[in-house]
Amino acid sequence: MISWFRRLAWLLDRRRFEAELGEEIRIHEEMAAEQARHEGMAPDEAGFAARRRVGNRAQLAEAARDVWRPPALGDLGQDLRYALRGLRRQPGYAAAAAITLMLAIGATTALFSVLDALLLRPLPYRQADRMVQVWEHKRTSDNRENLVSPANFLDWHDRARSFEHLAAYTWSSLPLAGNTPAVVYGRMVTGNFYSVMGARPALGRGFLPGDTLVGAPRALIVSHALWSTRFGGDSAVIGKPIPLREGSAQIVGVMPEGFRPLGSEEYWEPWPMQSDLRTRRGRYAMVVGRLRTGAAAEDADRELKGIAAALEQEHPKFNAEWGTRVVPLGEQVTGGARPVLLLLAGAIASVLLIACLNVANLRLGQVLARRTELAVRTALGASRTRIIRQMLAEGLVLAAIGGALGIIAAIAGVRALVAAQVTLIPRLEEVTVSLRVLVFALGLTALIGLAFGLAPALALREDALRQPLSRRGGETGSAPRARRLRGALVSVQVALSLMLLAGASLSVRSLGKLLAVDPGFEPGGVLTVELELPEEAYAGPGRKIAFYETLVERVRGIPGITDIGLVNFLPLRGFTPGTGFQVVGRPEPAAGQAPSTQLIVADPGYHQAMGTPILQGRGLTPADQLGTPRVILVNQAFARRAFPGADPIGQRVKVAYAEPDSILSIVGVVADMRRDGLDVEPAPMVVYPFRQYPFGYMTLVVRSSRDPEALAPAIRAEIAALDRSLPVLGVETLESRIHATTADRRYPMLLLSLLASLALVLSAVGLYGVLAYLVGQRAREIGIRKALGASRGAIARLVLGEGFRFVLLGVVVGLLAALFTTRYLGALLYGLAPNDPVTLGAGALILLAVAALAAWIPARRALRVDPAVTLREDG
Amino acid sequence: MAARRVALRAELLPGTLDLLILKTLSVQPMHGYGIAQHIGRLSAEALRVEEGSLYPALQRLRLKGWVKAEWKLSPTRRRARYYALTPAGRRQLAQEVSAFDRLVTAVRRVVRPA
Amino acid sequence: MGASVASLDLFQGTLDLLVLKALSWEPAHGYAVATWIRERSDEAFLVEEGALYPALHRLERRGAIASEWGLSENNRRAKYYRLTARGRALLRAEASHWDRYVGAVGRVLRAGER
Repeated sequence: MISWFRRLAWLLDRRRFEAELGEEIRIHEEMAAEQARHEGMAPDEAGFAARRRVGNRAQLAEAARDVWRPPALGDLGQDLRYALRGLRRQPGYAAAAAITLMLAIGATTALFSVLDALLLRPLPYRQADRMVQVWEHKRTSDNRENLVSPANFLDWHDRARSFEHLAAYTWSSLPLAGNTPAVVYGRMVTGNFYSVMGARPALGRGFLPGDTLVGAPRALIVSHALWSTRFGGDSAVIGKPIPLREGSAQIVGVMPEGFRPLGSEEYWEPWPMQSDLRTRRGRYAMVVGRLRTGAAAEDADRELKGIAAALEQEHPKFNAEWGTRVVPLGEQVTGGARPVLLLLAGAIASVLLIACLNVANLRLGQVLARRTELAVRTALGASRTRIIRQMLAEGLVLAAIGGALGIIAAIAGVRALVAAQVTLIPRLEEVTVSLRVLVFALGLTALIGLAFGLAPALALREDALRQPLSRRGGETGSAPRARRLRGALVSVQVALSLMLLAGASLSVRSLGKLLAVDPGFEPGGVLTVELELPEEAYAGPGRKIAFYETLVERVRGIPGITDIGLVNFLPLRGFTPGTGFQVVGRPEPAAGQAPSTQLIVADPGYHQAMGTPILQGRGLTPADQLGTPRVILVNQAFARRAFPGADPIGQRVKVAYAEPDSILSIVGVVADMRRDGLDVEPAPMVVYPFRQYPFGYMTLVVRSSRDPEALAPAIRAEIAALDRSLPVLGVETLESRIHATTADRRYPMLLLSLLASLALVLSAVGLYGVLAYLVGQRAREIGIRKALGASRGAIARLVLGEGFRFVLLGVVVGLLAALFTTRYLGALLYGLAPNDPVTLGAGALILLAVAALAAWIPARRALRVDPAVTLREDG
Repeated sequence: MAARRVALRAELLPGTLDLLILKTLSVQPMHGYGIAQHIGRLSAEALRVEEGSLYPALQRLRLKGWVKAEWKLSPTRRRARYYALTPAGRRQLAQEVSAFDRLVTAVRRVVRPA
Repeated sequence: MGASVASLDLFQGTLDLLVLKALSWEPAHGYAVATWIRERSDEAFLVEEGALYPALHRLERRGAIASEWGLSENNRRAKYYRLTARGRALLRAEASHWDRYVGAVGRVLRAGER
């Protein structure tokens, strides 16, 4: 397009151009007049004749200007109309191309919306890039995000210089009384919490020191959602007492809509940092901070590590081997999802590419077929620029249609995604098709349009446009090149499809292997019901035991129930408390070196209800109660860890929980359960008998021979019969719990499978197109060969051979590429190597089968070619 | 000068004009007036170049980079703008000549008496 | 963008000429004319509807051809065109005009070749 530079030169220097042209014309006149005089004309008559010859000077100048001016836009309208007419004449091709583009552009736009909300848009806090989360972590453990000790937090708060504000929070619950008793969950937050968040209540006020005085009602700031649903959005509720089960609370403020920075909390209340929090006992808080201007997260990290080291020295028993970790908040929120999202982005980009290649192939085939028409149009008056402009117009129109439909599809898809509340995607509520996403989608569409419009035109060299076919059925110079180009496009599609197929297959098989893992219990037919006894009404161990055991007996009577038990923390809930232990008779371990174990509290019926066998010794019995010797069960992992090769029954241990100095006897070994995840090896665990350590918060585990969900109303009725005002916190079957834990693998797997299927279909269509074209082109040749007696096999080989060469090339390249890229499946893989040969091999076979299917119709057509007909047509 | 002129309607149209200009310049660089004279002479006056089309055509050829222009002194010591073929223009000329041939052959095939 | 194809439209009449020649055999409808031209030129000329029908209307307006409705081979209604006497004369004139024009251009192109 060098001519455009020259046009620019003209634009910038018009006066000189016009002056020079004027002079040139004048000289021309002079020469013509001179010639006329030479031939005998009188001088002034000669001059007159010369001027007349030149004609209308103004018109000439205008014509010259027209040459330099960029082409008129009016032509563009004609090009567009012509393009639309062309598309209307080939509805099949137009529909196929438009739908392909719609799917590709739509999917890419939807994904970009998610990426935009997650990775590009800053968190909705003031200067969110200055906010960090602080964790503790034990150096000897894998868990890098351990809860924080409030005492340590206070020391950090006093000593650290890198933070403008540092706040801590922990869980709290609110038993609301009234017509519909309910328990809502919130957080206790230290006073400067809102300074860290950079937020203020929309209504009412923040916390004041007076709110934490003894005897005052609990002061609350509630979320906008809770205020709307529970309190009707009535601003008069601020300052009025709210009845609780015991005592009352008072709403002092309401936060703006959408403010829920700590997860799903419904309210916040102050957490006064009383002096007794400085005794180091337990880690149960989380810490957020706002960095001082000028300080970076790494600086804060370093400083806190230094402070932690000092604390290790000052309080060795509690802090030995404990360090800190500072994580920028953005990374905290989206970090886990990032690798999967990037993987999916790669997959969608591949499908987009395949789709575009398909449409490009379609167009290329079109253009090839129209070669002679273009040749004549060139001869009879259309300049190459014009033809290219028309091709461009066609490409743009196709892309525009596909793009418009795709954007609409993306908007609908994103709405559906948000409505489905896929928990895998953090910040989901912020995902919309924003302006930036729209611009991206339009840019993508324009780019695709340009590529389509120009590519075929550029692929056909200029002489191809001028060279008419000399005889039917022959192929001129550009055609083999174009055919190879089309074949290469198919190879690329096949390779990409194989990569996607490999990824999808691996993730499907991984999920299968994961679900095949024995969780250590029998999930089928089990319902769990979560309850919490308020401390005020059920103070003391006796009342808790009485309530729960009565409940168990009553529920046991419901028909259809085979087993029933109690436990405080169910497996696969993402949370099990842990602590250190020590075997009696062995030397006391150094500070921080004590082995750790998980611990739960359960009743005698629990393991039977879960379907987990007792392997050695005995289970818990009602005889294990207050006043009798302290006993515990341990799991196999504990036995392996603490007593390798020996019999753990009868051994005695001390556990740093409740009464750390009491000695516990091991009376039984229970089978391992997968508590932290199906893919996480079981950790050592001890089981305390409920009667010796009654909890207020317990979960009923009920096994039934009937559908467990059907039992829920009956169980609720029994609970209500014992205590009307006791809310049920959660009812869930174990099967749905297992289902939920695999969600973060399942969604990507489904998406990958969908994309791989889409890729296969598109590639098959592309292959079909190329083969059909080949068969059409070589019909004459096939007819001749048949007339000469070629076998069906030979014919098939002739036609399909070339096509399949491209497929095989694609398969080989695809396998090699898959070997490199499947490692990025990362967390999605389980129990399989990224290069698992069985999976990859199966993928290649599937692809070849699909290719064979795509080739079937053209092959049949080739075999059906009637030699007599083709020879006759030859003329 | 009673040459048999082709009817006015068929004065050189843009495509052919470009071709003939390029051919003319392939012999030697020339100014606009000289080009017009050359074409008229060689075609035995069958083709007449209108100045109103000649100069825009020369501009077009410059735009496309097939000719370049330079102010020089003519043999008669007069300043004039001379046009010369560029290498690209030479290539273009070859292509156009062969295309022209092909087109003529094709049309003749259709129109041949029979 | 490299060398582009300069339009080598000799004159718009080339197409007119081909159409007239096609109809000089027998009356035909538009599709048959295009087919005739295509076959006769050995696939060199594929006349698009967008060019053919304007040419037919042009010629009809000039009185060179006349049209009437009839039934096609597959019993469809189609507009048949036939050459008028005026059209025959025009065909002769256009053909010879074209010859001379092409000849003149050729003379310029061949200048300097042995």
